[in-house]
Amino acid sequence: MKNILTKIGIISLIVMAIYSTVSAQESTTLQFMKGMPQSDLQNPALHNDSSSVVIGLPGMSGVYFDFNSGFAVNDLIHKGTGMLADSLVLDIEGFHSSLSTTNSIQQNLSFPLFYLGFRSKKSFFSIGVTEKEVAQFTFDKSLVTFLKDGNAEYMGQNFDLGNLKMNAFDYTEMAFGYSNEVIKNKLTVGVKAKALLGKFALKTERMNMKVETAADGSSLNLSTDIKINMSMPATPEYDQDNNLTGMNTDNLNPKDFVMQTGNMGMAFDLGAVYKLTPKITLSGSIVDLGKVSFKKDLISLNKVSNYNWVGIDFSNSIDSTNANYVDPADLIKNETTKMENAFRPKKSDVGSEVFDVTIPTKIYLGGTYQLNNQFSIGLLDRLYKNGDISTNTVTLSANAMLANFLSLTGSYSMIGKSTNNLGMGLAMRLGLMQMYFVSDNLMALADPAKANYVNVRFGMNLLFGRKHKPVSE
Amino acid sequence: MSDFNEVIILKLFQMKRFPFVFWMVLLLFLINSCNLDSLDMNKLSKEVNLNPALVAPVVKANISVWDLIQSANTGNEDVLTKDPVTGLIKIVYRQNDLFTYNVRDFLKFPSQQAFSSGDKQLGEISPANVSISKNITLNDLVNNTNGALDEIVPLNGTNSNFPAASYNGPDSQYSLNSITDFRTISLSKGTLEINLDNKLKVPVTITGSLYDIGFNRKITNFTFANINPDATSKTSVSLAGVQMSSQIEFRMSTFQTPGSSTPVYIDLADYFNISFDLVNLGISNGNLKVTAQTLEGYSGVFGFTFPEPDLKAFKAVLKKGSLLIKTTNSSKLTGAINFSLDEIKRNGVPVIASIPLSGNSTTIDLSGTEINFSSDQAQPYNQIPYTFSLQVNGSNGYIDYASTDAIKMDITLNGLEFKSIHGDFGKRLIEIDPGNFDMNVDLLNKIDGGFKLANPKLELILHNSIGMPGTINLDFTASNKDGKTAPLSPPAFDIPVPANISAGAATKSIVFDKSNSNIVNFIALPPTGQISYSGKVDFNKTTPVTLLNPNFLDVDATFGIDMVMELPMELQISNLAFKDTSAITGSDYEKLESADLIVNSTNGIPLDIDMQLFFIDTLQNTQLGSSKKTKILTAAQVNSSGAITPVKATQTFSLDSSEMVNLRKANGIVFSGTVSSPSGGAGVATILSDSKLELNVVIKAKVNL
Repeated sequence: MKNILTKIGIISLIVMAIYSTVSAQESTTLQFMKGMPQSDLQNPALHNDSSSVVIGLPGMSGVYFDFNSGFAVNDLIHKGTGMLADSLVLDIEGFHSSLSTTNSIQQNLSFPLFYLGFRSKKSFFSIGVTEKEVAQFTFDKSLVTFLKDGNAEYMGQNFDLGNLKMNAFDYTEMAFGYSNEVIKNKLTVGVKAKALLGKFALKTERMNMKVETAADGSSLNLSTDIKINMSMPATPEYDQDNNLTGMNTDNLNPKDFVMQTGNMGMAFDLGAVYKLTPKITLSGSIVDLGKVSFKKDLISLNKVSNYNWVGIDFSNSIDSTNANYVDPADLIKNETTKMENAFRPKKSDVGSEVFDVTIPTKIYLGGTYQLNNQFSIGLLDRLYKNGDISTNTVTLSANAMLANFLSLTGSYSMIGKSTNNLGMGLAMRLGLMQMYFVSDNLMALADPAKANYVNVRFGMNLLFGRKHKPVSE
Repeated sequence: MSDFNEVIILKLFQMKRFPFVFWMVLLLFLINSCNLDSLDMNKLSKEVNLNPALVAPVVKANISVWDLIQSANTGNEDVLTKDPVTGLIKIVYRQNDLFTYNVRDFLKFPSQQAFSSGDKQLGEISPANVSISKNITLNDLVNNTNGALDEIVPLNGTNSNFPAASYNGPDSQYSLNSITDFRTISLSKGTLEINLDNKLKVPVTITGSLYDIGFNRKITNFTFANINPDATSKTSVSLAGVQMSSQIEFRMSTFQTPGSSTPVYIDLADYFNISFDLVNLGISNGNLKVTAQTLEGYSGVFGFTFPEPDLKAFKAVLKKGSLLIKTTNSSKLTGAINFSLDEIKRNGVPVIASIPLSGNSTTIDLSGTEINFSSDQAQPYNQIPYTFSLQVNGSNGYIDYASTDAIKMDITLNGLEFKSIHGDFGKRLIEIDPGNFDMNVDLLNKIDGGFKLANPKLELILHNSIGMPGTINLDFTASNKDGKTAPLSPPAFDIPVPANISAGAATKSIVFDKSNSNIVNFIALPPTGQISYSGKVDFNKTTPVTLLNPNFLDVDATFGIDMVMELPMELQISNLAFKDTSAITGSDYEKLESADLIVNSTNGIPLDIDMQLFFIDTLQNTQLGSSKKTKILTAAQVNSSGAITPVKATQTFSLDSSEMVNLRKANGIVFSGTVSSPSGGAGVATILSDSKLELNVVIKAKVNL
C-alpha cells in the first residue's frame, strides 16, 4: 500500500512538473535541512531544530530573495558564433523557442522583521513579523511571436497577443504559529494564523491586446481590454480634457505608508508530519491560504480601447487649393492625437474598486528517509499556485548534521522544465548564533545567464536550549 | 575518500577557526565560480536578428481626379479648369495680349499744319450815304437870274397874281455844304438821288447840274419839269465810275414858271428845296473817312496734308490742338477779321475767331473739335473750308483807301493730337512680330513621349477698334525640350470690325481645332518648350472705301489678340512616360530586407498606370539597378457610350532583396511610369473632374532589426 501511494505520489509530481511553468518561492532545499528553525515557514508542524527558543532579530534574521522565469537570460542573449563568437547576440528565435504558451517572470522578497519561537513540551509556539513583496509579470508567447514574425503572416486574422499581467503587492505578515505532537512519536500537526497588512498592490485583472490585420492589409485594428486595480498612496491627475496624465505622489508620507492598516487580510498555514516508520517521515502542508482585501487608496482603471489604423488619409491633402485642405504634416499629428485619445484613459475610466489579492498558495508534500543519525535523504514536491500560474517543484535532498554545529544539505531540483538545479543549504552554529545560507540553484551563481531562477535565503538565528538531536528525529 | 582526506577534514573540524575558514572558502568558491561574462552587455552585438514581416496601411485616399491633377500642377492651378456641365478637365492656358498693337502707330498724324489764305484784296468800301440839301428862296432867284424875276420883287408881301418868269442862263451857282465823309473818292458803284421839293406857290421847271468844284467838272445834269407847288420830284443818277471830291455845288441852268392866274401871297422868302443824296456808294479808292462797317467776306479751303500719302481723311476728332492765325494788312483800315471754320465744330458749333487787322496773332483752341474734311464735293477729303469777313472800325480822319489793298492770313495748326479719324486709310499691313511663350504647364513637363488629345483647341480672341476690314495670317510653332517642332498651320481669317467708331472694340473668337488646323499633332509634341508665333494683318485688301463706308479708328483704342489654349483631357495615349527624380539616402533603407507596396484601388480613371523605379548614383551618373515594371493602377472601364465604370483591383509593387541592395547604394530614385488609355492606348480616356480614385496603399516589408 505504501509502495502504491509512493508510486502514485511520485508519478503525480512528475506530471505536475511537466505541466507547470517554472517558479520558486521559498527554497525547497530548506525544508528538510537539519537544524533549521525556518523549516516551519513551509510546514508549521515541521521543526528541524530542537532549540527551546528561537529568536530572529530585525535586520539580523536574514532575507529571502528569488527571481525566476520560464526562460533564462541565455535563451535571449548568448554568445554568438563565427565572427560574433566573442560577442553576445540577441537570439529572438531561440528566446521564442524557449517560451511556453504563457510565461511569467516572478520575483519575491521576504524580509523578516522579528521572529520568536519557543517550545513547550510537545508544542511549539511562534510569532513572526515579516515584510513581503511579490511581483509577477506574465505574458503569452504570442506576444513574442508577433514581435518576431510581424503581422504579415496573419493577414485576415485577429491576432491575439494574449494577456499581459503585471501583479505586484507588498504586505506585512504577522504570523502566529502553533504545533503539537498529537500522536506521540507519530503525528505532529501545526497551524499558523497570519494577519496580513497590505501596503501596496497592483493587480491586473485584464490586459488583453489584439491586432487584427485586414486580409488586404488595408487596416490594422488594435484593441485592448484593460482592467487594473491599484492601491497606492497616489492621486490620479487629469488634463483639461479629463485624460489621465499621471499619478501624484506628492502627499506620500512614508511613515503612514508603512504603518497603514486599512488593507487587512488573513492567511493560514496548515501542516502535518507523520512518522511512518522510524526511518521514514512524511510531511504535508498548505502555506499561505488567504488573501488581502485592499480597501484604501484605491485606483481602478477599466478601459476598453479600439483603434483602427487605415493609413494616413490624404484625401484632403492632395489639392492645396481645396477649401478642406489639410496639411500633410497635420495629418500625422491628428492621427497621433486620435490614437492617443483611443488608448489614453479618461477620468470616466478611473474608479476606486475594492479588490482582493490572493496570496500565492504553496502545497508541500514530502518525506525523508533517515540513513543514520547524521544523514537523511528527502523528497519534496511543492505545488505553487499564484492565480493562473501554477508551478511544481520536485526536490531530492541529502541532509546531514555534522559535528552538531554544522548542517549541510545538498539538493537537486526539477523546477518546472528546468532540470539543472543543484542546491545547497549550509547552517553553522557559533554558540547561540546560527548562520545559514540556502539556495536551490547554486549553478545560477556560477552562470546566472543560464539560470531560469535564482533564490537565496541567508541570515542568522539566535538559538537557545538546543538539544543535541533535532526534535523531528 | 582517501584516508588522507579524512584526516584533513577531521583536522579542519577540530580547528577553532574552522567556521570562519569554512565561510571564507565557500564565499571564494561562489565568487570565483560566478560567470558574469554572459551578462556583460558591453559585448552585446548590434545584430538583433529580428526579421519581422510587417504589414500596415500607409496611406489611403479617396480623391477626385480634380484634386489629383491640381496637386500635380502645383503653383499653376489656374491653368486647369473643369467643364461645369460634364466635369471634363481641361488644361486652359491663357495668354492675354499675345499681340497688342498700338493704334497710334497705325496711321501717322501731323502734329502741325500751316495754311495761308494768300493776299485777299479788300475791294470796294461802302461809306455811309451822303445827303446834302439846299433851300433856294425867291430872293436867291431874284439875285442870281440877272433880272429875270425882278417883277416879283414889288409884289413881295402882297396877294397878287404871280407873274410868269423864265431864266435861261447862264448857270446860276448855288454853293452846297462840303461833304465831310471823304475828300476824294472813286466810286465803283453808287447812286445820286436828287430831290426837288417845291415850296413856291407856283409851278416851276428847273434844269441844272451837280458840279464838282474839286475836280472842276460837272458830275451830272438833271431837270425837274413843271413841279407844282408843294410837290416833290426825284431823279437818280448812277455814280459808278465817278470820281468826285467833297466840294460840290448846284448850278441852275434854267428856271421857268408860268406864274399864277389868281392872286397868291408873294413872299420872297418862299423857296424850293433841292437835295443830293449819295446812296449805296462803293468806293474803289479815295481819301475818305471810313465808318464802322463790315466788309464783304471771303471763303476758301485749306488742304490738310497727312504724312500717309494715300490717306484720305473724311473727318476727324481732335483731342488737342490749337489754331494760330496771323494777319498781314496792307491797307490803312483797322478792325478785325471775323474768321470762321465752318467745318471745324465743337459741340456742333463752328469754330470762329475775331482776328485783329493790326497784325497780332490769335490762337484758337481746337481741343475736342471735330473736323469735317469732306465738305468739298470736288474733293471730299483732306479739305478744311474757311470763311472770313472784315469788321472795319470807323476812322478818326481821312485815310487813303484802295480796293487793291490786301489782307493775308497765315494759319498754323499746332500740337495736334487726333482722337479719331474717318477716311480711306488705303491698303495697310500690320506685322505681328515674332514672339514666343511658354505654357509652363507642370503637368506637361512631367510627361515624356507622345500622346494625343482628342479635341484640343486653340482660340484666338481678337479685340479690334480699327474700322478697317482686314485679314490675319498667323502661325504658331510648338517645340518640345528635345527641339522637335510642330506647326499649327491655321487658316487665315478676317478680323472683326466695329460697326462705327462709337461701338467700341469689336471682338471675335477664332477657334482652331482638329478640323481646321494641325493642333492635334501640335499639342501631342507636347509643347514643353516654347511656342513661337508670327504673322501679319492685311487691311483694306479687297473692300472699297467710300464716304458712307469709311475706315475709322480711335487712336486710344487697341488692336489685340488674346490666346486661349484649351486642352480637354480626352487622352489617347499609349505608354505615355512620366518621370520624377527624388534624392534619397540609401542607408535609410538598411533595415528593409524586402518590401511590397500593395495598392488596393478602386479606379474611376480610365487609365492604366505602370511604375518602375530606377536606382541611380547621381555622382557617378550610373544606374545601379531597377525594379520590375509593375502595374499599379488598372484603368476604369469605358463602354461604347463613354460611360465610365470604376475598376477595383489590387496590385503589388515589389522590391526583392537584390533590388533593396541597389536601393541602399543609390542616392537618387527615378519614378518612371507609363500611362495608357483604354484598349492599350487605342481608346480615348476622358478625364472627368469628379472621377474618383480610391486608394489604400499597404506596405508589406520584411524588416531587419
